[in-house]
Amino acid sequence: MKGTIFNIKRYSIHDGPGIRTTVFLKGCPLNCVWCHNPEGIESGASFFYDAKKCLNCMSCVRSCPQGCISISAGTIIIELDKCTHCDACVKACPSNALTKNGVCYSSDELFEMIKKDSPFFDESGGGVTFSGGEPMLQFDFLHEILLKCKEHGINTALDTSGYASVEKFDKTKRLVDVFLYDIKFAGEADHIQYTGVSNKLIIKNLEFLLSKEVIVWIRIPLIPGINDTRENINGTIHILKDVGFSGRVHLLAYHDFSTVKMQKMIEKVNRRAKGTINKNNSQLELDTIKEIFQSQGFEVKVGG
Amino acid sequence: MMNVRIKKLREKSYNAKPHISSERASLVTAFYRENQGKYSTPVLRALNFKNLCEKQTIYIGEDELIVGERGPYPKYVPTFPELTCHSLEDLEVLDQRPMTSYKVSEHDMTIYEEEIIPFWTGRSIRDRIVPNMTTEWNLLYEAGVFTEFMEQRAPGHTTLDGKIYAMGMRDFKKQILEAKDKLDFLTNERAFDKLQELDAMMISCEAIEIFANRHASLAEEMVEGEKNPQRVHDLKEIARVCRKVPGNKPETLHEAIQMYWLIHLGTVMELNGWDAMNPGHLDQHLYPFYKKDVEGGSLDREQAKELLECLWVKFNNQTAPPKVGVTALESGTYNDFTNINIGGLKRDGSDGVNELSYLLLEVIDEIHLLQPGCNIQVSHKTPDAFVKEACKLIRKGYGYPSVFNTDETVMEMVRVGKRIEDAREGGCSGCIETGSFGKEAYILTGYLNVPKILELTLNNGIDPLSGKRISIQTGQASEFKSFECLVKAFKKQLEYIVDVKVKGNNYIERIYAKQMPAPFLSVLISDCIENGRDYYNGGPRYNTNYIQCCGIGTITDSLSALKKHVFKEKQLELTRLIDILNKNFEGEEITRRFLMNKTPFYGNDDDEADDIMRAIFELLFQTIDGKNNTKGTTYHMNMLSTTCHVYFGKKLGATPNGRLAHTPESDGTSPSHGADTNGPTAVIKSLSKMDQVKTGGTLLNQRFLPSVIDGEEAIEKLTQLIKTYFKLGGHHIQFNVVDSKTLKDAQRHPEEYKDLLVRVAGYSDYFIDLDQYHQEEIIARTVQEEF
Repeated sequence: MKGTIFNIKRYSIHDGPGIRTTVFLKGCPLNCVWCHNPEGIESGASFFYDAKKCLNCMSCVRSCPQGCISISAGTIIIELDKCTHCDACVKACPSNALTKNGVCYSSDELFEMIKKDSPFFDESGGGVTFSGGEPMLQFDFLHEILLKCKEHGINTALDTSGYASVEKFDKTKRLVDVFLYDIKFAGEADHIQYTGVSNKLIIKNLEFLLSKEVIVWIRIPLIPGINDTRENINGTIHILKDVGFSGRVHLLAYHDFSTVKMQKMIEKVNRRAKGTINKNNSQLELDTIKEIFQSQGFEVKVGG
Repeated sequence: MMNVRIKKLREKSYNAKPHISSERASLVTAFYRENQGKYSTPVLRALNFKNLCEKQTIYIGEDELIVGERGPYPKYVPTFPELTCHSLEDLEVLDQRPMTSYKVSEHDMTIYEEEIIPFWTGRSIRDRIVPNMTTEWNLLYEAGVFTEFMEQRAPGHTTLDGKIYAMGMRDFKKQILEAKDKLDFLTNERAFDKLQELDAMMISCEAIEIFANRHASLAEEMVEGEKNPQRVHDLKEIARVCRKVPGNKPETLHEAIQMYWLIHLGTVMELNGWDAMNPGHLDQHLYPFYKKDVEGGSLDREQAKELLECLWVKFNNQTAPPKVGVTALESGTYNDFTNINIGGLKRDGSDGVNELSYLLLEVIDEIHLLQPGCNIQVSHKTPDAFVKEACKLIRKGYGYPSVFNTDETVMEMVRVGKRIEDAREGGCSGCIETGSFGKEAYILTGYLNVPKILELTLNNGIDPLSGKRISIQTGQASEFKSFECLVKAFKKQLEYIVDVKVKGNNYIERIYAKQMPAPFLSVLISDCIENGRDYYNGGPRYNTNYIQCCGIGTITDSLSALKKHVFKEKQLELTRLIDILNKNFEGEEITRRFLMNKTPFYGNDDDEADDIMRAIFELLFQTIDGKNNTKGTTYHMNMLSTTCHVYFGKKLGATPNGRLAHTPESDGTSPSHGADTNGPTAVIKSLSKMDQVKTGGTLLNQRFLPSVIDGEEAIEKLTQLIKTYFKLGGHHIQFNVVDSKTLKDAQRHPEEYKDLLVRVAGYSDYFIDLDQYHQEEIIARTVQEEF
């Protein structure tokens, strides 16, 4: 079976133990306002267009057998409804101004990619991390590739929003060496407002995983002015204690990666307008939050 | 923390401006006028060395504990007119050029004009080499197909083993006498030559003792006028040490360091061999003295560090002798390339890391001047803790230490027949060159511009830059019906060019063997005494010639583009592409982008490209490895460019990988600039597909943003990255830890970045001392960013 992957990053050193290869699976049920991988939200394959690289050579227009591409005044229009994803345009583009967002891999093909860095995994205790998007959204594919990795003794991590059915967690719990589990808000109303979904299922799944004695690292993206309030931090600690979590907490500083990417994305659906988050976390703020978690007995790390 | 003495010495060394000193040239000229023709050549050379040891101005600076300079003062650089005689124009250029200039006084100019130039014109080695090279050689040389190392400097890349810490000159002289006793004038027709060589060695031993004793006397004289009791004590100790070594073997750490330094100076006063001189495994050599002194209570760790730091400053005082012309383009730097090995293995195969290895890392961190360069040797027995300490130093962004795989270098040496113990005692010097320390002459003969050979293949032996025929005809491009046909033609070009190069080398090698022996150096390198033969004439236990191949990234990517777009997918006619290349992609930006973006490139762990790299590597190996030199041994290859990829790039038209004419080629064995887009693990995987054990060294540059190796965990991951590369058979890796913003800012405000060291090739240099081409080249290197 095939999966849609929007990125594969090797020498990934902030997504779990050791040196890792992170595979980004396309599609996400959440729609967080700060999302730093907005290209991974929509499920199907689409395109990136970088006007700065475009030579206006019309190679893409000429190459399209469907005739669904036009370029005018520095912008490209692709009629996605007509597009058959034959990739002729992408192959023809001499400057890589037009590239694919989402490539189909069979689990064998993907495994070959993952395996390439196995000498580094062996040396460092690293492995593969599946991220996204929400990898659980392509569950059958994920399950197949996890199984293949396990059969070959490759360490696996799953970077998840926690928003998937409990059955999916049940089926993957023995195939994943470490869950990198996002907790974004303590309050349900905030969670719905900023991510588009409730956090009830997320907390339930966390409780489920903890009851199954799997390794979980909690990851909290700290979005300045949105979820880094004292109230939310205390609420998060409360939830973690409530579900009986006592392990490692990673605080992830916010960086604006999305603005540039958003400008280049060509998609069927226009993403909803993002709240502008144009400030970074202060070091002082990060240190303070770190101390709060530490004082509650958690092992804390700033960064992945 | 540096103490006050070291701070002052460091500051002084950092601020000293390089000058040309005509003193040596003047002494040598007067000596040759008087004595040429009276003695055999080896004895003449030895007496010339002795004359220098007797008459050269000697210097003991304020605060110094380790004494001796190559010239009259720190950074006063002697010249070697017997090898290359600078013209007045050369000297003016050196004085005036904006980068890496050398001050030349009126006085020195006059001496050159009146004494030195008139005598050496037509007599210097260079004047005897250049006019005697063949037309074929000159055509290729001038077009930048290869360079020649020995037209301006003597063969070198020499490193010492531990014998000078176990033997004084007295012991060496005894060995020489024994060898003389064994000479058999009845049956051996070489006995006379051997006698001359051994006599010359004997004279050289005496010469260096004279040099040391003059320093002792000067120190004693200085005691007279000295009021500071501490300094009186220092001077007396200097005098005592210089009376003892190098005549006798050293017994304290201070004596051992001074011993090395005097020997070092002797070798670089005798001749200006490439890469100065190297101490080899300094931590292993000095450790017994350190241990004994510290345990005996005569020295503590801080005092030991102070002595080592005094030595470090001494290295920095020895600015490289200036080059001119092509050789200056190859490496325009003040760095004379001493490269100190730390860690590695001992002779018996046990781990070589000791307390002093860590102390040396501390010394490097505190001093971090231009020189000396240093590297760590990592074997399967090296403790991770040591590698991590070194990685912390790498993170500071001085560009050193570089990192070598001891297990691989040992295998490289065993492959070519060296004894396992000698291989373990070896390591790397210069940039990345493998050698058996203290037992080998491993001579670099010049760089080979591999992408240029492809250009010549595509143009049937004509250099498109000049329109001149410079090589053989191997077929019109229109006749290449397949990729294999093209590679076959390339092979013929390569074989022809390597033959021309080797013939030239062998000629030059004989000139050095006959006309410019190095008897003092020969004393120090094993088996020269027993063989009664000079270092330059096959005297050492091992004799290796290297040809250094440049631009493997550029040629791989170029062939990959040809294979895919011309032969496989037939999107471009070969003749049309050659036409586009010869017009430097003018009006063909779309084609250029297409080639750059739609071709599998080396450095991405992509077999399509990496298999081409392997095929070319194998061709180079088959062509070079095993060619005969004139010493009964053979050539091997290195994959090293130093800064020659910039010069070679200037001599190369546009290439099929989309590279524009005259821009740099890929460096060392690194991927082309910007061609690697899958991070450092992919680069390493690509590199590991090269059978590096067949080389005498490869060079991999990696540039990291400082943020990528921030924090304890990142250091651990960097250590793991290095160790994985070495498990996969990598020879060497080195890092620049600096962001482009800083480098660009340094270009705009050089005054604010005076001490910004960057890794250039197998050495570090001050960024602001690099010319614009080399600065741009470093900025263009792919940056491994945070993921």
